[in-house]
Amino acid sequence: MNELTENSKSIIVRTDNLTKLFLDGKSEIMATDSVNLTITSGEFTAVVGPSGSGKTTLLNLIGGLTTPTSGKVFVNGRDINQLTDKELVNFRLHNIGFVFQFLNLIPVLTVEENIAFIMELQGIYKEQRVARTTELLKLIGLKDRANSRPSTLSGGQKQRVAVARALASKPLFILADEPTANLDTEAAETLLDTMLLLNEKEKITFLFSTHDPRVMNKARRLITLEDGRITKDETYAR
Amino acid sequence: MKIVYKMAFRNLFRRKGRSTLLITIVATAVFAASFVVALGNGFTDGIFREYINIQTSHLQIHVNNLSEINDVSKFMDKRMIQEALNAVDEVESSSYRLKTNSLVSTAQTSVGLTLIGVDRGDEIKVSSIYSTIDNCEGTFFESDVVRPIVISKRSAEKLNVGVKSRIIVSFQDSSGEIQKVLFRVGGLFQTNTKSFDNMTAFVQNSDLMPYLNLPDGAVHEVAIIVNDLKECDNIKQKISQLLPDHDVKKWNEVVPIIDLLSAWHGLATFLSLAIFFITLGFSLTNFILMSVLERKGEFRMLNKVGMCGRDIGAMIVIETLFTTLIAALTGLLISTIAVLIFSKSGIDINFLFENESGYGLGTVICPVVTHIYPVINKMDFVNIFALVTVVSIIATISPIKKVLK
Repeated sequence: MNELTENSKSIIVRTDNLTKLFLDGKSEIMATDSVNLTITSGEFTAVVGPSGSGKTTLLNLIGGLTTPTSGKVFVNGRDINQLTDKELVNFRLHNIGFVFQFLNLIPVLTVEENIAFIMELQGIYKEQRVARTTELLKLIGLKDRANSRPSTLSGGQKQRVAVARALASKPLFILADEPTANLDTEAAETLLDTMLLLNEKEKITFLFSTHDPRVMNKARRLITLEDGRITKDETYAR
Repeated sequence: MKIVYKMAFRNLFRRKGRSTLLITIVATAVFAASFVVALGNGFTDGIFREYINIQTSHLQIHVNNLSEINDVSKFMDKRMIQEALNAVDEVESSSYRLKTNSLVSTAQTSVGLTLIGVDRGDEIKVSSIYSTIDNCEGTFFESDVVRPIVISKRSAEKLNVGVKSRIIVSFQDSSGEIQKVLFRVGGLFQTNTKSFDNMTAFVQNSDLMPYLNLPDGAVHEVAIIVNDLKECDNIKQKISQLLPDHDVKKWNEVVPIIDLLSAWHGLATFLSLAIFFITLGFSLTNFILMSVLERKGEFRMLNKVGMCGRDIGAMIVIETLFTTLIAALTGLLISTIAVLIFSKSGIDINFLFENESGYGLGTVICPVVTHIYPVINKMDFVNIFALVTVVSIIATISPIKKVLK
């Protein structure tokens, strides 16, 4: 186990000089440049910055969806870049919840089945799955839509279901890439309130990227990225 | 993983139009493939039936080491064979024949024929040659014609003779003396085997025996019909044990070309199925590829949230199998219905032989069937079903690789 996590149990994500270089033809694009970052449990953190500043890349690197050019990512003290592809998929399944901007839900499954999906992949017993799904449906206010297909939901409702699915199996943290990007003000507010509620009630750590000021206002920690570098890291008591 | 099956099954109804089209394509291919197999089976069965009914019966007994020149002096004892056959319950009927080579002549021309001496009552139980004689073209030894000979229509045309015409039949007796006997044409038969028609004539044993200089009860060939064709091998063995000095042959041993036909049929079936299923495999791959590439984003999302590549692959395979197996069952069902209908009425392929050359089919050594009665058996169903399954699985390999890349 990593020394830092041994001494400080609450650190769940740590990056060491995390760098990602993309090749665009002959030119190189530095998406993240020596990013050093720690996320502790229970945080509600937003990574902000202008378009192309490297927010999504940083989240992908932390989630093990992209391999860094150099540097390391430790999740719960484990260097995730040392894992094989198969181990990484399994690691994500059991430790990280994801909320994406688009294509979050499985269209052929109902809302209830979508929420239970990760738990089913984990092999959690049906009784437990049903109980947890019912609890989450209540929390996100979509109990009456349990048997609906995603295509019948609004954008905001879909994102709330995605959040519920991400935290259904109680992961270490949830990565959300611009979760409110396609939502209107009201839907975005509702989603953020839901996320905050879950953060408080379930003590789930949220790390999300955004350039939406409404989201920034609700975040307790704002990490600002510019040209792949952290230029600001501020914590707020809200 | 229950969820994988659930998602695969529901994906079938996601693009109903595409799924229906795919099911239609696969069902059509399976129907076509199985019906081609059924036609092939029916065609070869027809040929085998023709051989058995007209030429070979189920079993034949000859004297040991009989040469192909029909040596008259090599004969068997009818009584001894009768005793042996009476001891075998499975023998349903038998016909004792005399056989010699002959030259049949008219004032204008002559042809060489194998003369077969038969007893009408016995012969009609083992051979349906009598049924090939049209009403207006005589009978199979039922008329009042003195010393009748039944020849084929083809031979009659060559000899330029008709019913009741006189012809001279020359042959050697057992001592090598040439015998010339006057016969009258009693009937004209026509089978579907040109070579048989060109080489065979029938006379009554009682008309032939006095000229062969053979002892009473001498026979050259015994044709046997058994009560169960499938038991032919066992019955043959029983008779062989009772008549160790005789040569007992099964129908396909009497005419070895039957085995060749059988092998050819197997090869033709294999090749036609191979072509069908290779084509199906490519179409299927194309369909699956379109379907999965359209959902690439969804598969990526599934992989990101923790669904492993193996499960995603399994979902694509199961989804394809659901579709193709439904289609295969539909295709086989349609094929079964078609086979049931046509196995009763038959499919008339006379048009193939209507012109002079008959596309060459009339000149082949084996019989030519004019009606095909399609036959399909359980193993054909199992083979086709297995092929669809294998092809479906293989067809998913490339799309799965592409989607997991």
